[in-house]
Amino acid sequence: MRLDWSIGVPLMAGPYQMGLYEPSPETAGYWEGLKSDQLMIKRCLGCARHHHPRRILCAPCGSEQFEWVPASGRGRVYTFSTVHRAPRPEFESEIPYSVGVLELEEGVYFFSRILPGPGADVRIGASVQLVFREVGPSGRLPNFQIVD
Amino acid sequence: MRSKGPLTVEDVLASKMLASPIRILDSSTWFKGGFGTAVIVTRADKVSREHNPIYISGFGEAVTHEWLTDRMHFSGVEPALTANLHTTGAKVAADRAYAMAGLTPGDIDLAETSVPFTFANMMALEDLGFCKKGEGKDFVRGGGISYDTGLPFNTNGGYLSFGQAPHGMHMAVEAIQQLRGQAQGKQVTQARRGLAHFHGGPLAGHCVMIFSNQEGLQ
Repeated sequence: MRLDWSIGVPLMAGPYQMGLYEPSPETAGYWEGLKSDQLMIKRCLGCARHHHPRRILCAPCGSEQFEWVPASGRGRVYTFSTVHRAPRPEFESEIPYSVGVLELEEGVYFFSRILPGPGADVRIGASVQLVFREVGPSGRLPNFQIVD
Repeated sequence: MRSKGPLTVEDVLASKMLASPIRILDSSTWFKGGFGTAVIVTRADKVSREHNPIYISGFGEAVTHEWLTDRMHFSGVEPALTANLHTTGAKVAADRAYAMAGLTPGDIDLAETSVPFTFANMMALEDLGFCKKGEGKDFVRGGGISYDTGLPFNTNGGYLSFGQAPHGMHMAVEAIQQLRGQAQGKQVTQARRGLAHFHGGPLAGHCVMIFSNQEGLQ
C-alpha cells in the first residue's frame, strides 16, 4: 500500500479521527521522500547540522536556509519500549513489537518501529539499518532493524 | 485505587503489560470527568482573613518540546536540560519557583504532581528537588513520601489513584484545600507550604507553583 501523504492521511486513535497528518512547508520534503523509499532529513546550509523533526530555523546558527538530503539509514538504538497492547485492531497480529528513539548517524533522533535482526533482539546501543515496510494501516513507512 | 481499594506491589507486577516496562497499574486511571475546578485570584491587599486566602509564594514554567524527539534537540537551559529523556522541564520550572519564593525543597510540606505513570512520579520527585536524579526509587522505598514521616505526595491519590482529572488546576486546588485545613480526603497536619506541578504533552510543558497559608511567609 502506498499512500499519498502529500494530500494528508487521517490520523486515527481507535475509532476516532484526530485529524490529518498534513505536510507543511517544513515537512513536505520528508513526505515526498517516502514516495521513493527515502528518509529525507534537513541539513542547514549555514552550519551543516542536520535537523529532524521539522525546523524552519537552525537554532544554533540562526540560518533559515536548508536542503533536503537522504539519511544514511544507519544509527543506533537510544531507547525503546516493547508494545504488548495493540493501540488499534490492525496491530493485534503484530504484538509484541518494539518502538523507540534512534540516534541516526547524522546526529538526529528519529522515532519509529524497531525490528529485531536475525538472531539479534532489540537492545539499547545496538546498530540499526533503515528498512521500508508496511506499517498497519499507515502504509509504507521508514522503520529500522537491528543489524548486530 | 478508587473502587479497587489499596494496591500491593504484587498487584502491580501481576497486572497486564502495556508497553514495557509500563503495566496497566503503573498507569493513571482514566477519569471520566463530571466536575469542574475554579480558582479566584486577586491581590493580597484585596482579600480579607475571613476568606482564608492562600498566597502564591513563587511560580515557574518551562516548555522543552512538542514531540518526543524534539526533546533530544532541546538544550536551552544548561546544565539542567541537556539532550536526554530523564530530566524534564519540571526541573527548570521548579528551580524558578523556588528562586522566586526564596525557598528550597526542604521547606515544602506537601506536593502534588500531574504525571500519569509510576516512573514519571519518581522523575518528578527528582526534578522537583526532593531527591537527587536517579534516586527517586530509593527515596520512595525509604519512606520519602510517607504521609506521616516524609513528604505527603499526591494527597488526593494523584493521577495514579484518583485519576487524570482536569489537569493542573485540580492539583492546585488540592494543595490549596490542604493548606486551608479543608482537605476533602486525608488532611496533612500543620502544613504551611505546598507545591503543585502541572504538565501537558509528553512531559513537554511544565508549571510549578508554591503556595503558603500565611501572608509574608515565603
